Amino acid sequence: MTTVQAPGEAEVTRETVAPRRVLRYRIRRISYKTLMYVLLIGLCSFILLPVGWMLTAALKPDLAPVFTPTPEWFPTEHWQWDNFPEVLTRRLPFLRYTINTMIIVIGNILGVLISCSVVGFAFARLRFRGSKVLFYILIVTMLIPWQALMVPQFLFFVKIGWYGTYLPLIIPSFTGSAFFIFLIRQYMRTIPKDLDDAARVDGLNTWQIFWRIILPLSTPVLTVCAVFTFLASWNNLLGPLIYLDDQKKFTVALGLANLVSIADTPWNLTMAANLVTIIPTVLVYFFVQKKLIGGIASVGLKG
Amino acid sequence: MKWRRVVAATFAVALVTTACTGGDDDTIPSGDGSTAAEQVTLDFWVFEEGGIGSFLKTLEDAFETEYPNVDLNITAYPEGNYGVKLDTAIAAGKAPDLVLVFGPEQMRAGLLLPLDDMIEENGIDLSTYVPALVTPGDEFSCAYEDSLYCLGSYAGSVQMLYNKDLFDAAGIPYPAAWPPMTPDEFVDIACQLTDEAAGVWGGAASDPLAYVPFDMMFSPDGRTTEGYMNGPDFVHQFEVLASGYDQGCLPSSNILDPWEQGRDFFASGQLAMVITDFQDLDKVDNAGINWGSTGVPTPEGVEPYFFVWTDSVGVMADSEHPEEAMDFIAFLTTEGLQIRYEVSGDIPIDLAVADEIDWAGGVPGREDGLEVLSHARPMVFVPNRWDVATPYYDAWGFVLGGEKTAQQALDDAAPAQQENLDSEWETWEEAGG
Amino acid sequence: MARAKRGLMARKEERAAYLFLSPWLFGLLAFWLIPIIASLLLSMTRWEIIRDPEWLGFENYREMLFDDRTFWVSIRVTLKYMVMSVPLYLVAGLLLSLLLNLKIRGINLFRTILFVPSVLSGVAVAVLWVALLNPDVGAVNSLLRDLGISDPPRWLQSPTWAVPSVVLVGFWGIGGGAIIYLSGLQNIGPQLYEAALLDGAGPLQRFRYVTLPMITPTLLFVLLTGLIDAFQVFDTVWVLSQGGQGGLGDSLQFYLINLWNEAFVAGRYGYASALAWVLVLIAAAVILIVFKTSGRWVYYEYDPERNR
Repeated sequence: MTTVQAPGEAEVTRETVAPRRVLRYRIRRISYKTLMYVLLIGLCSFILLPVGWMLTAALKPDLAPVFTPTPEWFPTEHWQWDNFPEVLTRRLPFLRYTINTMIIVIGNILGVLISCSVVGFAFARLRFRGSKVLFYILIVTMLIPWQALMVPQFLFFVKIGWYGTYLPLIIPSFTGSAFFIFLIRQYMRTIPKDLDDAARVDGLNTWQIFWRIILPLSTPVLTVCAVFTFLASWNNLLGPLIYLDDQKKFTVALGLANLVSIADTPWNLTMAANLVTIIPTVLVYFFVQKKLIGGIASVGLKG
Repeated sequence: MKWRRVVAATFAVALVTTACTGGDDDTIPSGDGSTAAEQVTLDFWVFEEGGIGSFLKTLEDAFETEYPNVDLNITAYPEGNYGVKLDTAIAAGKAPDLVLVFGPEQMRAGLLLPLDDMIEENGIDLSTYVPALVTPGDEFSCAYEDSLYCLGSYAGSVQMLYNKDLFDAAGIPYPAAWPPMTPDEFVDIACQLTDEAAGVWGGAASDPLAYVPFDMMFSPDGRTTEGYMNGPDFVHQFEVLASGYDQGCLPSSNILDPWEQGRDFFASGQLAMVITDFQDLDKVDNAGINWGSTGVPTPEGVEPYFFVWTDSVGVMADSEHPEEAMDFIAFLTTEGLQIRYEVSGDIPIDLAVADEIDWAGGVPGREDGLEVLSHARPMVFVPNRWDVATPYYDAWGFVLGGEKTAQQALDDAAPAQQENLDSEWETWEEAGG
Repeated sequence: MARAKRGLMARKEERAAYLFLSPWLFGLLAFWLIPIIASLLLSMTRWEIIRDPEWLGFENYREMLFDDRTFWVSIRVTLKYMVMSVPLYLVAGLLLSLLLNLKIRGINLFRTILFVPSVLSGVAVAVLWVALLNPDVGAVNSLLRDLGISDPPRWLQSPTWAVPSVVLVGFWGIGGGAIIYLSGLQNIGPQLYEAALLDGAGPLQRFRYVTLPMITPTLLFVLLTGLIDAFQVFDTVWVLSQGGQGGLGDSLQFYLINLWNEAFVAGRYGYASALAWVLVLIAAAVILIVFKTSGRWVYYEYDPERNR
């Protein structure tokens, strides 16, 4: 059997190799791994230093200067943890805002997952007349800046009586979102055709192919969709702004924007508020990211 | 300056005027229906830092106590999006009753109700109000073409605070409250008072337009800027202030924003002079600074100008409860003055009241401030003023960065600004009434 | 017989397809059609939102092309940003995803950390970076000065560095794009790598001949959405330019910033709508070109149009 020596390759499993080459191979492998770790740690620092700066600023009392001669990447002097509850409870009713936001967010995630998976599947793996035209229309809808449609759509929703409710913020996600439909289409097209053929031979109809075969293999892309939908609805400001007029229904994004409204940007409180919004999303992501691994690579073809 | 950002946020609502019966301001609390008063809800949209501030809360409570049949519902929106919210709501027919007013566009469009009747019936004496705010002129005024469309509770202004102890230490005589010094003097004194070792800057001003009258950039009718903004007088203003920066006598805006942080740094003794909003003075008093105030530096031969503003509240024309809304405005500009003073220490818009309640309280700086305020004048009207002036800001940026001389920068900027100006006037006229 | 059966099957598939598409088609008709027509009509009016619209025909478009200096500036700025950001994000995202696909210890933690910037709203990110990129007292320049660079760039306040600053801020959030690639990597069967190994392919060759072709569908997605994002960049730049100020010398005058200012600050919503539709046209042209050429380099395991 030919010996395959991949320089610094971590995935190679078995070969028969001479002992001396084993040592060299092991060294290469370790240095390769180290290099990867160095890169990863370097990138993480680039990410985390600004976050550390945020934390430092968030912990400062009101009068402490936020801009210091030497940059403070980590809190050293000031530890005013009180800024966090101050922002969360005393200034604005963030608990209620969070609940409101969660209603919208969960509604959106459901809507997107349900609608975009079916529509994406059609574009991905079905033949039908007008598929090209409809796909171009799909893409074109992504090109229209929301600023242009915002007012006409707003007036439309007012006309059908949805003003002041969460409906305009949730229902449209049940009719699909071009971005995710496109993403799912690309993903589903990388699943081999043989699965379909085998399924048809077994007498499965289109729906069953979708539901039993393609969809389970699509957990990675659906996870991505769910995460991005979560973020988009969580951070959405203009939607709640123009459709809601009852302060009790406001969302976290709206509340935060109110906080920084005026000239006196309270840096410490703003940074505290932003940090707090990171936490739930990061937690969600951390637990959900297992689902990012899936698809053919993990499952393998049957038969 | 707060209001500059506010102007970008736009419109506010119209007025509702229908004075109460016989102008009787002291309402008989109609607890058991002696005057048939149904429960009324007034929607009032504002923007405030951190949600609804304590002034509005106190005001709301006091107003609802006096008018038990009215439920005042205050909603706060982010400042930067206030205009969008209002515009869309108006287009959808969902506008509130009471709004914050900025600029004459809505007055012009007939969206606000004139307050004149209400004022007369309530016997509100405007003659002691800060004149620039109640006579027609520029967009900060509540008056438009002989009618008044909004009123407020306080008068904010731009003035220059100075630290008397630092002046004493350097042997420089205090400037008079009025008339103000010239910009050349300002920079000169600032450089004398700067003490790098002690971490003290002599002065702080964001850019020439913080104190140079806006009129200097425009012709008297507000239609021409080319030739004015790059004329020798205005160019000189650029050069003077830029030299102050170059010599290190003034901190750059990146280090310290005079509008947002001016009072803080002044209160901590790091600034000898600062051109900033004349508000939040408790901070300065409590820090034990021995301070005075004077008008903003003005070139010789030019009538001094400084920005004044108020929390202009108006009533929307489509309001379903114009009477009650008018009551609120009347309340705001009478009892509200007292509340405003108690809660946030601002100067009442009615200077007679300011005297009555002894706003100055014997603090020399405050007395100075009141005197300065009495000289407020309107300035030339320019539609969409701050967008028109964008080339001016670019020019200033280039001068500060040392990339162009003042004359070059302003010569380069003038055509663009003239273009903006022409275009804005065109839009203004096309939208005409 | 087989032909008839195929025809029947094709029709069944088509019917199923339309059923699957129905939510989206319904949404198009219900929530998109009327607003789009309205927006097109509005683009031919003068409308200040608070007053009634006034018909103008093509006047807005004429003004845009011949009288509006800012329009052309905004196209230049947006193009500059596109040319700088799209290739960078495309390549960096891919490389990062390969790194994050490694099965090494702690990779979950790394993935989470790199994802953190994407969690913040565009506004929050921009607020943070305005502070960091403050030319005089910001952390970045303080760091650069500590490293010996005496005259660091003035970032958002410099006409040359303004757009690169925006690219840098976006680069901080590259982790978000990486997870899209990550999902795309999941359908590359390990047997392909094994076969390549057997053929004596090194890691670089395995990347070039296995990973890269298999990930072209995702690449196409990232490229297209990257282009669209570059056309539509708004939230972040709005804050970075301190409320749509346009930057020194119009260096931050992006297309949608100009559009927003026209719509809500100058009160010319009709004109802004016209700007929007011109953008759609330009973007559609670019997208079309990319699509037409995509057939040559994108590889689908299953492409129903080619009846593979």
